[in-house]
Amino acid sequence: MNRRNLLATVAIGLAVIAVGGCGKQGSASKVINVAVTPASPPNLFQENGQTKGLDYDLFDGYCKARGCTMNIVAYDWQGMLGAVVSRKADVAFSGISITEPRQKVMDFSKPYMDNSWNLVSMKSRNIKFANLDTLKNYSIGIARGTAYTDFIKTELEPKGIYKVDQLKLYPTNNEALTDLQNGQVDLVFLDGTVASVYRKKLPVQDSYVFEGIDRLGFAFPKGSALRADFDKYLDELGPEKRQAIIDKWMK
Amino acid sequence: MSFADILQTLLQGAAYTLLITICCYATALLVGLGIAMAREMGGSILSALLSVIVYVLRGIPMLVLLFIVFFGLPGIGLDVPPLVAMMLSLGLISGAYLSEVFRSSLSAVNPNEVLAAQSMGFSRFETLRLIKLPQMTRFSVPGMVNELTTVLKFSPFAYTVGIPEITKEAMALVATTMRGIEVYIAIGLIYFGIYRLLLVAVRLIEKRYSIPGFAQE
Repeated sequence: MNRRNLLATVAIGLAVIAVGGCGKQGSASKVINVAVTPASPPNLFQENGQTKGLDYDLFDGYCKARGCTMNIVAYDWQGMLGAVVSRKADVAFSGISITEPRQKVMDFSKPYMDNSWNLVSMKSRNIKFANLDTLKNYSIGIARGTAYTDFIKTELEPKGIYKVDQLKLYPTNNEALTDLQNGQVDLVFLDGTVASVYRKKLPVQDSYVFEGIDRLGFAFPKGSALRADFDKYLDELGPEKRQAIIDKWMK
Repeated sequence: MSFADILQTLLQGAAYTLLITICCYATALLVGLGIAMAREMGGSILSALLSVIVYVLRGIPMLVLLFIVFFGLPGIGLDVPPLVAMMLSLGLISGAYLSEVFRSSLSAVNPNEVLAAQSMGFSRFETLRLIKLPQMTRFSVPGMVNELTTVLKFSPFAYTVGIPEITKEAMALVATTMRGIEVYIAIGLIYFGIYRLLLVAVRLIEKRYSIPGFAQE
């Protein structure tokens, strides 16, 4: 019977440790809970365990100016957006596009950069579009939960250019690009920022670039006071210094 | 970056994977045992209620329950930390499966032994504690090990709620290095390693409690 008691004690002990261990959450006033997806270079990624990137530099500048510290938690893409909506995080950034459906459930900062949307393909395939008439003959891969689906539904589908049903969905850009290399998909939709990184590492090229439709913002929970202050900081920073940070990562 | 470097980077998340697996499985054992015993001891109403709960838990997708617990509950003022959210989703679902494993093992206990216990004046609880439970636990070992592997393989869902386990490390690494094949092979090896580790631990426990001549284990 001692054994049985021991087993029960161990089990309950484990449960208590698990509950207690995660119960302690920093409640210092100047700590900002940040949600990111570290698979979004150059806006946000990890190298040797360090969180880096364009968005990180911008928010790091804000925190240095205001004397706050970041408590960064890495989620996958859906988890990151969910964390903002459910107020688990005070802010989220990883190259998040400002879209109408998202604005219904979260508040965005002022746009901090314009972003193009690029349809990339393997160089060896030599696919280039002067216009979009023949686009429907190709398969397009996109990462799930990204803003492209809405764009295709509201902009391309009514004009008969492309159907949402034709899309191939992947968990992240990584899998979409792997399939592109394997020849399972013809084109992959990428942010201009992301495409600039992949062009350096993979034999891919832009087949078509959509300009002026996408702007990136920092996402905050609805009614966040932090957002107003961050917008103020972006004004203080000014366009030149902001552009310098963008250039540092986009080159 | 060599393959060893990749392994080393990924291993940073291994402790979390192990922690999630152990915590969720501990929850599952408590829940599974609780349900099985309550079904055995309780009346028909309690039993019917538990059947409904088990039905729902076995039918709901893991990710849906995790989202409800982690992102939904804060809406009604209950803030759940990530690991507890995993225990309340993966742990509960796995517990429901385990309760079925326990139920089948309970019915495998020789009814004549139960009859003998009753004729000796054992109460229902004593019969359960002294006759049924010790045999049930031993019958259940294969099913319990199965469920343990399931819990291990569902642990990457923890990334969705922000626990930096190995799958997260792998995604972050692939995003910067673009070396998918090597990273995913490395992650597979680490899962094999963790599985082996857990298996050895289970075998030790099994050996400790085995009774010579009992069943054909």
